[in-house]
Amino acid sequence: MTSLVLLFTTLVIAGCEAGANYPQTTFRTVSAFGDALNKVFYNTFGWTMGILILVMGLILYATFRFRERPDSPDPEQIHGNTKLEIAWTIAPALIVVFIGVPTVQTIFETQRRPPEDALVVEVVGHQWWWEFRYPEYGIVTANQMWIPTDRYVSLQMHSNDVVHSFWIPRIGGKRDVNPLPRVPDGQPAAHKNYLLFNVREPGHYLGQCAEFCGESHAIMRMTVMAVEQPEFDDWVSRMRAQPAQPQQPAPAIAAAPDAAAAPGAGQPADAAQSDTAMAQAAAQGQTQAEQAPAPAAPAPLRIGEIRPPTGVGNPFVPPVDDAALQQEGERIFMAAACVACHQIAGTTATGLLGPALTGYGERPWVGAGAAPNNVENLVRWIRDPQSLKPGTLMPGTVRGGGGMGPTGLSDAEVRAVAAYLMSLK
Amino acid sequence: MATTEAYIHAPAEPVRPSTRAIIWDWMTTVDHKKIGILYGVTALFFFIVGGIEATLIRIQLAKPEMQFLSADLYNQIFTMHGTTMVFLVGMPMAVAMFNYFVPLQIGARDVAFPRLNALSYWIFLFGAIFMNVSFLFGQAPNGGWFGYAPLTSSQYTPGLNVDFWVLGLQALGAASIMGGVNFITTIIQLRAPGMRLMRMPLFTWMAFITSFLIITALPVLAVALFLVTFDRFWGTNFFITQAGGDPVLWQHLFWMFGHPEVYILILPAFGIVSEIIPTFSRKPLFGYAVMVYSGALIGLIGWGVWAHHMFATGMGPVADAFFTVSTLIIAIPTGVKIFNWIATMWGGKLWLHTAMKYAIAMLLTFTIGGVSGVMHATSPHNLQQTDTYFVVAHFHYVLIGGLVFAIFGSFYFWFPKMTGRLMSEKLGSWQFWIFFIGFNLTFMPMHWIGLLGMPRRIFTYYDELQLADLNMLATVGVAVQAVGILLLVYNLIHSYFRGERCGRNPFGAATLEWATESPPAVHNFNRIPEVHSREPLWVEAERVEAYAFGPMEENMHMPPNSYWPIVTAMGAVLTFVLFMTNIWWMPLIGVVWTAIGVINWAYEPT
Repeated sequence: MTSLVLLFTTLVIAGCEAGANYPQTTFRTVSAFGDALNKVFYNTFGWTMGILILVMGLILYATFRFRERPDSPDPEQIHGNTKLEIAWTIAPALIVVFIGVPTVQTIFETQRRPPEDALVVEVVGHQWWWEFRYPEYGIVTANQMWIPTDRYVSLQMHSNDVVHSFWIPRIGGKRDVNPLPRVPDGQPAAHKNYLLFNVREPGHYLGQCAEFCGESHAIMRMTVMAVEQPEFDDWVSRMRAQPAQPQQPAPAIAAAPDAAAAPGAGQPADAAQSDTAMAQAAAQGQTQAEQAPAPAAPAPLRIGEIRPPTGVGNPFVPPVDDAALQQEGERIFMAAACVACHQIAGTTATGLLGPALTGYGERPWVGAGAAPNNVENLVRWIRDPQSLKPGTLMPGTVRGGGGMGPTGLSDAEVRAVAAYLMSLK
Repeated sequence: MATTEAYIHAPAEPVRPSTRAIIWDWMTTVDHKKIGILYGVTALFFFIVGGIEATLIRIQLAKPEMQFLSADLYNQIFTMHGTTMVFLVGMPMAVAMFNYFVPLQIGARDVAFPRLNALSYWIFLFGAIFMNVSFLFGQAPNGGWFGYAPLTSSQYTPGLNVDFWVLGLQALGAASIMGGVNFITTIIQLRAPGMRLMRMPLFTWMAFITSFLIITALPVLAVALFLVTFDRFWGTNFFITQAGGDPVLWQHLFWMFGHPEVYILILPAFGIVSEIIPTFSRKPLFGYAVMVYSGALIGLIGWGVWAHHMFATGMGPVADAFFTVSTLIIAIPTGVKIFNWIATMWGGKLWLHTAMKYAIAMLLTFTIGGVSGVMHATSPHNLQQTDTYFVVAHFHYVLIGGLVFAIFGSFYFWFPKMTGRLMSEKLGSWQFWIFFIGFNLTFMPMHWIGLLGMPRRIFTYYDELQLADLNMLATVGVAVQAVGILLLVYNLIHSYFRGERCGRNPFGAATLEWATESPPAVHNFNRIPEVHSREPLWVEAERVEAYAFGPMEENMHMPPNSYWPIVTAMGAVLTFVLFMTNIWWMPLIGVVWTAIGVINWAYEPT
């Protein structure tokens, strides 16, 4: 009986999303955690749909069958029927048992303590971005969480400000990310919320904050890069290494910044020409590109597309490979207000207030999901982040933010910083 | 002050009073029927305000990355949409019906505390205006109708937004509690001779249970709001984590109020449907006693399920399991009610009047909402559903498909009693079908929108979610609903002036409110009827009517009009308004004003 219910509901639900690729669907889960939730759902769905169809059938039948007609007799004045009423009290009670027992089992099953060898990731919610810390490796990153497949991942979560909620639908259910009450010294710390899962399929999974957390709650998104263990180890070593110092210009892999060698990147050409310095930079890039055409790169990953990452470089858009510009950008970054809030491993930037930018070039988005990550959007972001994400604390070049004055960077400087950040991988 | 005699022995066709006199009469009235109409008209007005807010929300979400509203304005509008629909529409609409019909159904001349009733209304009205005035400052509440701490603390929301919200809600809550006390006393004390508890109409029963929920649940909200108020105005740290406060406490307090609130909204709808279905089926309600007990049981168990709003909060598996089971258990009495309504229709002679259409539609759509409610109750998968559009779909099926359908049905059912004119059936039928289709068009797709990954309360979403088409469909549905609601408003106004005149009991209903004139005289019944059954007008009509329309009772006492309720209400709400100045002695002006009102009230002869 139960298996019939499951079969029926699986068919119904499979039919509902056939043919489309919804990156945040709750149906096609990729972890045992998500599967367990769906199993409970299909069971409940089956039973309740059965009831719904029965009740709707009875209501519609009664409406048409007993509709007043010219020859309708006066109805018999019945006040009740104890046997019937007992029957339709017991029937729902039984169904509640059929739904309740597997549900309670799953509650305990999905909230068990993590195994010893689980990868611990500390998740910290901020208005409006995500911080991921890997105590095992000493890595801090933001808005993009890399995890190995086929290994338990144990998220330990708390918030730095208001209540957020961590949700990657294809992995499983959400869990609130609460600010923890400060406790007096010597008292045990308040408990952190946790999630435990084990992702089966390598892939790129989208998620976002699910608890209303203020003005830009809608732009508090994140991605999970689930990769196989070797690739994960590779990422770890890249994140821990000094960032590549672009000492030697490498014309062989140079690409034009504005042509961006990226089909579908969709950068408006006139945006760059609005500014002399940027036009120069573009011209410089073009010259290099003419000298040595870039090798064919794999097509950029569409956001939400399910394809295992290649492990090297930004899978979403290639970086600006102008080594001189990148170097200049690094110098400007380290000397400007940027370092007050941002950290980049292996550099003098050690700010803690804003998202860590180590490996920034590999991220799909600017501003935790405000726009796709490419040079144009990054320039726009550094110039005026408020225009992409209302309420963000980051100051722009002209407009301040978060209690800080404007950074005062010129457009050429912004361009260089953007080139530098895109080179981080 | 008008005296008793002036009311009772007024000439049949008095001189038409001046507009000023009419307005003064409405401002000082203590007649439960007039106050009921005031509540109803106000709630209908705010229903349109909330509907406009809903439309703005849906326009913003019609397509990905729309720039129609700014993020902050969107947040203000969805907060006010929720707050308005719950506190300024759902509850007052139910209270409007309680006010008008509970005294009539139990054979009383008025509620137990007529002036308190007026005070409730005026505090409600001024509180509602106060909260909406925030839009003029560009600082409407923006923390969600659930106002989760610590987002509502002055650190994260420094403006006036949340101040309007906490103070306005405090006023509205106070008004509701007074109303609850009034109805409980009325129903216990003022029933007609022979009207035992188990002979009361189901609607009155549900008003009775709802009132108990109101006087127990609203104080919890009041406490929670006081804590936030203290945090914001006087620097306490109830929810400030840096000082050891715990925001999860707010969630428990809010939902401890918030879940009974759900039943405060839906039980009146159950009551209305339990009146309409027997009337238009020409059969008594099936299993009256079970209907009463299941209503009471829902109210009772409703107190033990609040944390099912918090499965994602991280309470641990034991609490999750407890609240899963307690929530599932509520499905049993609710299911019993549905089956009993169907059994009432079974074998009847159904008159598919618009009121009945709404009642049947309510059974259908409420069941859909109930079924998705059971899906939420299974806490493991609730982790996927909560805070997504799946939940939005669920509670709109319950609150529109349940409450609003029942309320609209009650308009078609009771409007003739209130005005002496029938509502247009032709318009009614059109209105019903348009609204019904628009409603399903809007909210059915939201089930998929949610399960395919769209969270609630987001001012924008991105094309890559691939949910643009479904969202557009939902937006189109809102336009259809809007047509349905405008037709309803037109029908109400048109029928008020032009509707076909009806007699005392146009639908052949069974309960005492139909044993009065339409509209009822100010004293309701010439003599309070004695009843010996649950369906007095079906079983003992002649005898009951002999009382109700017979010779006038001697020495009948009706309470005179009073302006002290509105004066006191002004003082009470002024206290909250002056709080906003953040000058410590300013609210005292309101307190003194209130005190003057209360003292004069106490010495006023009735």
